[in-house]
Amino acid sequence: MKKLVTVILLFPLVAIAQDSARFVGKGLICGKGTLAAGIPFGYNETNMYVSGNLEYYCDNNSSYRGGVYIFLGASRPKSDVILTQNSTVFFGYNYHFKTYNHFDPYLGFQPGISWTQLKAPDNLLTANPQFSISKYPSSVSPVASVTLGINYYASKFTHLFIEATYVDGVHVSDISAVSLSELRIAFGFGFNLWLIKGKNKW
Amino acid sequence: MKLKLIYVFLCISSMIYGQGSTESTNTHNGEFSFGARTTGSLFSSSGNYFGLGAGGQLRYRLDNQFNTEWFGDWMTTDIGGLGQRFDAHIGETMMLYPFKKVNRKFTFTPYVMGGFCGDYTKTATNLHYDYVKNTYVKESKDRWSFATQLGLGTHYNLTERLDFSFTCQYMIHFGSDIDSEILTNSRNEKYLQIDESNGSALEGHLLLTLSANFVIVDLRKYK
Repeated sequence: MKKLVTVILLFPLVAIAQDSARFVGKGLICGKGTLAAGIPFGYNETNMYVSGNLEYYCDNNSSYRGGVYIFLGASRPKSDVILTQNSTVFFGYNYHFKTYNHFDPYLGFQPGISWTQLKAPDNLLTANPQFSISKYPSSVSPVASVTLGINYYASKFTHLFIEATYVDGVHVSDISAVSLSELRIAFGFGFNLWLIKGKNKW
Repeated sequence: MKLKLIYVFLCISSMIYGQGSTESTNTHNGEFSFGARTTGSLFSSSGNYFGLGAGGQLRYRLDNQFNTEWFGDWMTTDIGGLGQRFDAHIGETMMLYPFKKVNRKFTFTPYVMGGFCGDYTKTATNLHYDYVKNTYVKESKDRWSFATQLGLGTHYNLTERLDFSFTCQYMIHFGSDIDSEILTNSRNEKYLQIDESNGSALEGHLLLTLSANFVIVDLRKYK
Protein backbone atom coordinates (compact mmCIF):
# COMPACT_ATOMS: atom_id res chain seq x y z
CA MET A 1 0.00 0.00 0.00
CA LYS A 2 2.81 2.33 0.96
CA LYS A 3 4.53 1.61 -2.37
CA LEU A 4 1.34 2.40 -4.27
CA VAL A 5 0.97 5.77 -2.50
CA THR A 6 4.62 6.55 -3.27
CA VAL A 7 4.11 5.70 -6.96
CA ILE A 8 0.95 7.88 -7.10
CA LEU A 9 2.80 10.77 -5.47
CA LEU A 10 5.82 10.41 -7.74
CA PHE A 11 3.83 10.07 -10.97
CA PRO A 12 2.95 13.78 -11.40
CA LEU A 13 6.58 14.72 -10.73
CA VAL A 14 7.74 12.36 -13.47
CA ALA A 15 5.03 13.67 -15.81
CA ILE A 16 6.00 17.31 -15.10
CA ALA A 17 9.67 16.51 -15.59
CA GLN A 18 8.90 15.02 -19.00
CA ASP A 19 6.91 18.11 -20.06
CA SER A 20 9.75 20.50 -19.54
CA ALA A 21 8.91 22.82 -22.48
CA ARG A 22 6.13 25.35 -22.36
CA PHE A 23 3.51 24.83 -25.05
CA VAL A 24 1.71 28.19 -25.24
CA GLY A 25 3.29 31.38 -26.53
CA LYS A 26 2.97 34.31 -28.88
CA GLY A 27 1.11 33.50 -32.08
CA LEU A 28 -1.22 30.83 -30.72
CA ILE A 29 -4.88 31.25 -31.56
CA CYS A 30 -7.52 29.14 -29.89
CA GLY A 31 -11.25 28.86 -29.76
CA LYS A 32 -13.68 27.17 -27.42
CA GLY A 33 -17.31 26.27 -27.75
CA THR A 34 -19.28 24.60 -25.00
CA LEU A 35 -22.27 24.69 -22.70
CA ALA A 36 -21.99 26.70 -19.49
CA ALA A 37 -23.92 26.78 -16.23
CA GLY A 38 -24.56 30.00 -14.30
CA ILE A 39 -25.25 30.10 -10.57
CA PRO A 40 -26.87 33.47 -9.74
CA PHE A 41 -26.26 34.97 -6.30
CA GLY A 42 -29.48 37.01 -6.23
CA TYR A 43 -32.01 34.21 -6.72
CA ASN A 44 -32.22 30.45 -6.64
CA GLU A 45 -31.96 28.90 -10.09
CA THR A 46 -29.33 27.71 -12.54
CA ASN A 47 -28.96 29.52 -15.83
CA MET A 48 -27.87 27.65 -18.95
CA TYR A 49 -25.79 29.04 -21.80
CA VAL A 50 -24.08 28.13 -25.04
CA SER A 51 -20.72 29.82 -24.80
CA GLY A 52 -17.90 30.39 -27.23
CA ASN A 53 -14.77 32.48 -27.38
CA LEU A 54 -11.76 33.23 -29.52
CA GLU A 55 -8.37 34.02 -28.00
CA TYR A 56 -5.07 35.20 -29.47
CA TYR A 57 -1.80 35.04 -27.53
CA CYS A 58 -0.34 38.48 -28.21
CA ASP A 59 2.78 37.62 -26.21
CA ASN A 60 4.00 34.65 -24.20
CA ASN A 61 1.96 35.50 -21.10
CA SER A 62 -1.04 37.46 -22.29
CA SER A 63 -3.87 37.09 -24.73
CA TYR A 64 -6.80 39.04 -26.14
CA ARG A 65 -10.09 37.26 -25.76
CA GLY A 66 -13.59 37.90 -27.05
CA GLY A 67 -16.49 35.69 -26.09
CA VAL A 68 -20.21 35.25 -26.08
CA TYR A 69 -22.69 33.54 -23.75
CA ILE A 70 -26.06 32.87 -25.36
CA PHE A 71 -28.81 32.38 -22.79
CA LEU A 72 -30.79 29.17 -23.21
CA GLY A 73 -33.01 29.36 -20.15
CA ALA A 74 -33.07 28.40 -16.51
CA SER A 75 -33.41 25.04 -14.82
CA ARG A 76 -36.80 25.84 -13.29
CA PRO A 77 -40.46 25.50 -14.30
CA LYS A 78 -41.12 28.13 -17.01
CA SER A 79 -43.60 29.99 -14.81
CA ASP A 80 -40.96 30.58 -12.11
CA VAL A 81 -37.97 31.81 -14.12
CA ILE A 82 -36.70 35.31 -13.41
CA LEU A 83 -35.05 36.22 -16.72
CA THR A 84 -36.09 35.37 -20.27
CA GLN A 85 -32.91 36.87 -21.71
CA ASN A 86 -29.42 37.18 -20.27
CA SER A 87 -26.98 36.85 -23.17
CA THR A 88 -23.56 38.48 -22.86
CA VAL A 89 -20.70 39.59 -25.08
CA PHE A 90 -17.28 39.97 -23.40
CA PHE A 91 -13.95 41.39 -24.46
CA GLY A 92 -10.75 41.58 -22.45
CA TYR A 93 -7.38 40.11 -21.62
CA ASN A 94 -6.11 36.93 -20.00
CA TYR A 95 -2.85 36.69 -18.11
CA HIS A 96 -1.27 33.23 -18.48
CA PHE A 97 0.91 32.06 -15.60
CA LYS A 98 4.26 30.69 -16.63
CA THR A 99 4.47 26.90 -16.65
CA TYR A 100 6.95 24.40 -18.08
CA ASN A 101 4.49 21.93 -19.56
CA HIS A 102 1.23 21.76 -21.50
CA PHE A 103 -0.88 23.13 -18.65
CA ASP A 104 -1.88 26.78 -19.02
CA PRO A 105 -3.51 28.37 -15.95
CA TYR A 106 -4.92 31.85 -16.55
CA LEU A 107 -6.60 34.83 -14.94
CA GLY A 108 -8.86 37.01 -17.09
CA PHE A 109 -10.46 40.42 -16.90
CA GLN A 110 -13.30 41.05 -19.32
CA PRO A 111 -15.88 43.83 -19.23
CA GLY A 112 -18.99 43.07 -21.26
CA ILE A 113 -22.49 43.95 -22.31
CA SER A 114 -25.52 41.82 -21.40
CA TRP A 115 -28.83 41.83 -23.20
CA THR A 116 -31.31 41.22 -20.40
CA GLN A 117 -35.07 40.94 -19.98
CA LEU A 118 -37.29 39.95 -17.07
CA LYS A 119 -40.08 37.43 -17.48
CA ALA A 120 -43.61 38.82 -17.14
CA PRO A 121 -45.74 37.02 -14.51
CA ASP A 122 -48.11 34.45 -16.00
CA ASN A 123 -51.10 35.76 -14.07
CA LEU A 124 -51.04 39.53 -14.45
CA LEU A 125 -54.35 39.98 -12.59
CA THR A 126 -52.91 38.78 -9.28
CA ALA A 127 -49.63 40.65 -9.71
CA ASN A 128 -48.80 44.01 -8.16
CA PRO A 129 -50.33 46.72 -10.48
CA GLN A 130 -46.85 48.02 -11.23
CA PHE A 131 -45.86 44.57 -12.50
CA SER A 132 -49.00 44.13 -14.60
CA ILE A 133 -48.60 47.49 -16.34
CA SER A 134 -44.93 47.08 -17.19
CA LYS A 135 -44.11 45.96 -20.75
CA TYR A 136 -40.97 44.21 -19.41
CA PRO A 137 -38.61 45.95 -21.81
CA SER A 138 -35.26 44.37 -22.55
CA SER A 139 -32.20 46.39 -21.69
CA VAL A 140 -28.49 46.53 -22.43
CA SER A 141 -26.61 46.19 -19.16
CA PRO A 142 -22.85 46.70 -18.74
CA VAL A 143 -21.20 43.90 -16.75
CA ALA A 144 -17.77 43.24 -15.25
CA SER A 145 -16.16 39.82 -15.07
CA VAL A 146 -13.13 37.99 -13.72
CA THR A 147 -12.19 34.52 -15.00
CA LEU A 148 -9.98 31.87 -13.47
CA GLY A 149 -9.27 28.77 -15.51
CA ILE A 150 -6.83 26.21 -16.82
CA ASN A 151 -6.16 24.81 -20.30
CA TYR A 152 -4.43 21.55 -21.03
CA TYR A 153 -2.99 21.40 -24.54
CA ALA A 154 -3.53 17.73 -25.19
CA SER A 155 -2.64 17.56 -28.88
CA LYS A 156 -1.38 19.68 -31.76
CA PHE A 157 -4.81 21.11 -32.54
CA THR A 158 -6.98 20.59 -29.46
CA HIS A 159 -7.02 21.41 -25.78
CA LEU A 160 -9.15 20.74 -22.73
CA PHE A 161 -10.22 23.50 -20.36
CA ILE A 162 -12.17 24.30 -17.23
CA GLU A 163 -12.95 27.83 -16.06
CA ALA A 164 -15.08 29.80 -13.62
CA THR A 165 -16.20 33.36 -14.39
CA TYR A 166 -17.65 35.75 -11.85
CA VAL A 167 -20.00 38.22 -13.54
CA ASP A 168 -21.36 41.33 -11.85
CA GLY A 169 -24.01 43.74 -13.13
CA VAL A 170 -27.60 44.86 -12.72
CA HIS A 171 -30.66 44.71 -14.98
CA VAL A 172 -32.75 47.87 -14.88
CA SER A 173 -36.12 48.48 -16.57
CA ASP A 174 -39.28 50.25 -15.39
CA ILE A 175 -39.79 47.96 -12.38
CA SER A 176 -37.45 46.77 -9.62
CA ALA A 177 -33.84 46.10 -10.63
CA VAL A 178 -32.46 42.55 -10.63
CA SER A 179 -28.86 41.66 -9.85
CA LEU A 180 -26.99 39.88 -12.64
CA SER A 181 -24.23 38.63 -10.31
CA GLU A 182 -23.49 35.00 -10.97
CA LEU A 183 -20.75 32.40 -11.24
CA ARG A 184 -20.53 30.83 -14.70
CA ILE A 185 -18.78 27.50 -14.98
CA ALA A 186 -17.70 26.01 -18.30
CA PHE A 187 -15.55 23.09 -19.35
CA GLY A 188 -14.92 21.12 -22.47
CA PHE A 189 -12.50 21.15 -25.33
CA GLY A 190 -11.33 23.69 -27.86
CA PHE A 191 -9.22 24.06 -30.96
CA ASN A 192 -5.85 25.73 -31.30
CA LEU A 193 -3.59 26.74 -34.15
CA TRP A 194 -0.21 28.46 -34.45
CA LEU A 195 -0.32 31.56 -36.61
CA ILE A 196 3.44 32.06 -36.48
CA LYS A 197 5.39 29.49 -38.51
CA GLY A 198 7.86 27.28 -36.67
CA LYS A 199 6.33 27.96 -33.27
CA ASN A 200 4.53 24.65 -32.90
CA LYS A 201 6.29 22.78 -30.10
CA TRP A 202 4.27 19.59 -30.31
CA MET B 1 31.69 31.13 4.85
CA LYS B 2 31.07 34.71 5.94
CA LEU B 3 33.24 36.02 3.12
CA LYS B 4 31.38 33.87 0.59
CA LEU B 5 28.05 35.23 1.81
CA ILE B 6 29.29 38.82 1.51
CA TYR B 7 30.58 38.07 -2.00
CA VAL B 8 27.19 36.58 -3.05
CA PHE B 9 25.35 39.55 -1.51
CA LEU B 10 27.57 42.03 -3.38
CA CYS B 11 27.14 40.15 -6.65
CA ILE B 12 23.33 40.09 -6.32
CA SER B 13 23.22 43.79 -5.38
CA SER B 14 25.33 44.82 -8.35
CA MET B 15 23.25 42.61 -10.68
CA ILE B 16 19.99 44.18 -9.44
CA TYR B 17 21.49 47.68 -9.76
CA GLY B 18 22.76 46.83 -13.23
CA GLN B 19 19.32 45.63 -14.34
CA GLY B 20 17.62 48.70 -12.87
CA SER B 21 19.93 51.11 -14.65
CA THR B 22 19.43 49.29 -17.95
CA GLU B 23 15.64 49.40 -17.60
CA SER B 24 15.64 53.07 -16.67
CA THR B 25 17.25 53.90 -20.01
CA ASN B 26 14.39 52.16 -21.93
CA THR B 27 11.78 54.64 -23.02
CA HIS B 28 8.10 54.00 -23.60
CA ASN B 29 7.29 57.00 -25.77
CA GLY B 30 5.45 56.09 -28.93
CA GLU B 31 3.69 53.09 -27.41
CA PHE B 32 0.12 52.63 -28.56
CA SER B 33 -2.08 50.41 -26.42
CA PHE B 34 -5.64 49.19 -26.35
CA GLY B 35 -7.59 48.30 -23.22
CA ALA B 36 -10.90 47.12 -21.83
CA ARG B 37 -12.28 48.75 -18.69
CA THR B 38 -14.88 48.44 -15.96
CA THR B 39 -15.94 51.64 -14.20
CA GLY B 40 -17.83 52.04 -10.95
CA SER B 41 -19.63 55.31 -10.16
CA LEU B 42 -20.23 56.58 -6.62
CA PHE B 43 -21.75 59.58 -4.85
CA SER B 44 -23.65 61.20 -7.71
CA SER B 45 -26.48 63.70 -7.22
CA SER B 46 -28.91 60.78 -7.55
CA GLY B 47 -27.66 59.43 -4.21
CA ASN B 48 -24.96 57.14 -2.93
CA TYR B 49 -25.75 54.25 -5.24
CA PHE B 50 -23.12 52.20 -7.00
CA GLY B 51 -23.25 52.23 -10.78
CA LEU B 52 -21.36 49.79 -12.97
CA GLY B 53 -20.09 50.33 -16.48
CA ALA B 54 -18.12 48.78 -19.29
CA GLY B 55 -15.96 50.43 -21.89
CA GLY B 56 -12.68 50.65 -23.68
CA GLN B 57 -9.67 52.90 -24.08
CA LEU B 58 -6.74 53.69 -26.33
CA ARG B 59 -3.46 55.04 -24.98
CA TYR B 60 -0.73 56.86 -26.83
CA ARG B 61 2.48 57.59 -24.94
CA LEU B 62 3.94 61.00 -25.75
CA ASP B 63 6.92 60.66 -23.46
CA ASN B 64 8.40 58.29 -20.88
CA GLN B 65 6.74 60.29 -18.09
CA PHE B 66 3.64 61.39 -19.99
CA ASN B 67 0.77 59.34 -21.42
CA THR B 68 -2.62 60.08 -22.98
CA GLU B 69 -5.77 57.99 -22.68
CA TRP B 70 -8.84 58.18 -24.93
CA PHE B 71 -11.79 56.41 -23.37
CA GLY B 72 -15.47 55.54 -23.71
CA ASP B 73 -17.77 54.19 -20.96
CA TRP B 74 -21.41 53.18 -20.60
CA MET B 75 -22.72 52.95 -17.04
CA THR B 76 -26.01 52.07 -15.40
CA THR B 77 -26.98 52.81 -11.80
CA ASP B 78 -29.95 51.39 -9.97
CA ILE B 79 -31.34 54.22 -7.77
CA GLY B 80 -32.66 52.35 -4.75
CA GLY B 81 -34.89 50.05 -6.82
CA LEU B 82 -36.99 53.11 -7.78
CA GLY B 83 -35.29 54.32 -10.94
CA GLN B 84 -32.15 54.25 -13.03
CA ARG B 85 -29.42 56.51 -14.21
CA PHE B 86 -27.45 55.96 -17.42
CA ASP B 87 -24.13 57.68 -18.08
CA ALA B 88 -22.08 57.62 -21.27
CA HIS B 89 -18.62 59.22 -21.25
CA ILE B 90 -16.28 59.84 -24.16
CA GLY B 91 -13.15 61.71 -23.27
CA GLU B 92 -9.44 62.19 -22.97
CA THR B 93 -7.12 62.02 -19.97
CA MET B 94 -3.50 63.07 -19.54
CA MET B 95 -1.41 60.84 -17.29
CA LEU B 96 1.73 62.10 -15.60
CA TYR B 97 4.21 59.69 -14.00
CA PRO B 98 6.03 61.44 -11.14
CA PHE B 99 8.64 58.70 -10.63
CA LYS B 100 11.43 57.84 -13.04
CA LYS B 101 11.06 54.06 -13.09
CA VAL B 102 7.93 53.28 -15.05
CA ASN B 103 6.11 50.20 -16.37
CA ARG B 104 8.52 47.61 -15.01
CA LYS B 105 7.35 44.02 -14.74
CA PHE B 106 5.63 43.12 -11.42
CA THR B 107 5.85 46.68 -10.08
CA PHE B 108 3.36 49.48 -9.52
CA THR B 109 3.65 52.70 -11.55
CA PRO B 110 1.62 55.45 -9.86
CA TYR B 111 0.38 58.46 -11.82
CA VAL B 112 -1.63 61.66 -11.57
CA MET B 113 -4.34 62.09 -14.17
CA GLY B 114 -6.65 64.80 -15.40
CA GLY B 115 -8.75 65.52 -18.46
CA PHE B 116 -12.12 66.30 -19.90
CA CYS B 117 -15.01 64.47 -21.50
CA GLY B 118 -18.30 64.87 -23.24
CA ASP B 119 -21.15 62.95 -21.69
CA TYR B 120 -24.76 61.92 -21.96
CA THR B 121 -26.84 61.29 -18.84
CA LYS B 122 -30.38 59.98 -18.56
CA THR B 123 -32.36 59.52 -15.36
CA ALA B 124 -35.58 57.49 -15.48
CA THR B 125 -38.06 56.50 -12.81
CA ASN B 126 -39.69 53.11 -12.41
CA LEU B 127 -43.45 52.89 -12.78
CA HIS B 128 -45.11 54.60 -9.80
CA TYR B 129 -48.60 55.80 -8.93
CA ASP B 130 -49.29 59.48 -9.62
CA TYR B 131 -52.20 60.73 -7.46
CA VAL B 132 -52.75 63.84 -9.59
CA LYS B 133 -53.02 61.92 -12.87
CA ASN B 134 -54.64 58.96 -11.07
CA THR B 135 -52.58 56.44 -12.97
CA TYR B 136 -49.18 54.71 -13.05
CA VAL B 137 -46.52 56.82 -14.72
CA LYS B 138 -42.81 56.78 -15.44
CA GLU B 139 -40.70 59.83 -16.16
CA SER B 140 -37.29 60.48 -17.60
CA LYS B 141 -34.96 63.36 -18.28
CA ASP B 142 -31.71 63.48 -20.19
CA ARG B 143 -28.94 65.91 -20.99
CA TRP B 144 -25.69 66.31 -22.87
CA SER B 145 -22.90 68.04 -21.00
CA PHE B 146 -19.18 68.49 -20.64
CA ALA B 147 -17.16 67.34 -17.69
CA THR B 148 -13.67 67.60 -16.31
CA GLN B 149 -11.91 65.05 -14.14
CA LEU B 150 -8.88 64.73 -11.89
CA GLY B 151 -7.53 61.71 -10.06
CA LEU B 152 -4.83 59.25 -9.13
CA GLY B 153 -4.03 55.85 -10.54
CA THR B 154 -1.51 53.11 -10.81
CA HIS B 155 -0.47 50.55 -13.40
CA TYR B 156 0.62 47.07 -12.38
CA ASN B 157 2.60 45.45 -15.15
CA LEU B 158 2.15 41.69 -15.45
CA THR B 159 4.34 41.58 -18.54
CA GLU B 160 6.29 44.32 -20.29
CA ARG B 161 3.31 44.92 -22.57
CA LEU B 162 0.28 43.99 -20.43
CA ASP B 163 -0.76 46.08 -17.45
CA PHE B 164 -3.72 46.27 -15.12
CA SER B 165 -4.57 49.83 -14.07
CA PHE B 166 -6.66 51.06 -11.18
CA THR B 167 -7.75 54.71 -11.04
CA CYS B 168 -9.83 56.88 -8.76
CA GLN B 169 -11.12 60.13 -10.32
CA TYR B 170 -13.51 62.88 -9.37
CA MET B 171 -15.55 64.11 -12.33
CA ILE B 172 -17.52 67.38 -12.37
CA HIS B 173 -20.25 67.87 -14.99
CA PHE B 174 -21.15 71.31 -16.32
CA GLY B 175 -24.67 71.11 -17.75
CA SER B 176 -28.39 71.29 -17.14
CA ASP B 177 -29.70 70.05 -13.81
CA ILE B 178 -30.74 66.38 -13.78
CA ASP B 179 -31.17 65.97 -10.05
CA SER B 180 -33.60 63.43 -8.61
CA GLU B 181 -34.73 62.59 -5.10
CA ILE B 182 -36.54 59.79 -3.32
CA LEU B 183 -39.89 60.89 -1.83
CA THR B 184 -42.66 59.09 0.08
CA ASN B 185 -46.33 59.44 -0.92
CA SER B 186 -49.43 59.40 1.31
CA ARG B 187 -49.61 55.59 1.06
CA ASN B 188 -46.11 55.46 2.53
CA GLU B 189 -44.73 54.21 -0.82
CA LYS B 190 -41.34 55.46 -1.90
CA TYR B 191 -40.86 56.84 -5.41
CA LEU B 192 -38.25 58.72 -7.37
CA GLN B 193 -38.97 62.28 -8.44
CA ILE B 194 -36.93 63.98 -11.15
CA ASP B 195 -36.32 67.69 -10.69
CA GLU B 196 -38.41 69.62 -13.25
CA SER B 197 -36.28 72.78 -13.18
CA ASN B 198 -34.54 73.78 -16.40
CA GLY B 199 -31.57 75.43 -14.72
CA SER B 200 -27.91 74.51 -14.92
CA ALA B 201 -25.94 72.83 -12.19
CA LEU B 202 -22.52 71.54 -11.29
CA GLU B 203 -22.67 67.87 -10.49
CA GLY B 204 -19.84 65.59 -9.42
CA HIS B 205 -19.30 61.87 -9.03
CA LEU B 206 -16.45 59.61 -8.03
CA LEU B 207 -15.30 57.09 -10.62
CA LEU B 208 -13.30 53.96 -9.86
CA THR B 209 -11.88 52.26 -12.95
CA LEU B 210 -10.18 48.90 -13.38
CA SER B 211 -8.68 48.27 -16.80
CA ALA B 212 -6.40 45.89 -18.65
CA ASN B 213 -4.18 47.34 -21.39
CA PHE B 214 -1.90 45.81 -23.96
CA VAL B 215 0.76 47.66 -25.97
CA ILE B 216 -0.14 46.79 -29.55
CA VAL B 217 2.62 48.66 -31.32
CA ASP B 218 5.51 51.04 -30.71
CA LEU B 219 4.80 53.77 -33.26
CA ARG B 220 8.28 55.28 -32.81
CA LYS B 221 9.65 52.38 -34.83
CA TYR B 222 7.68 53.52 -37.88
CA LYS B 223 8.92 57.12 -37.80
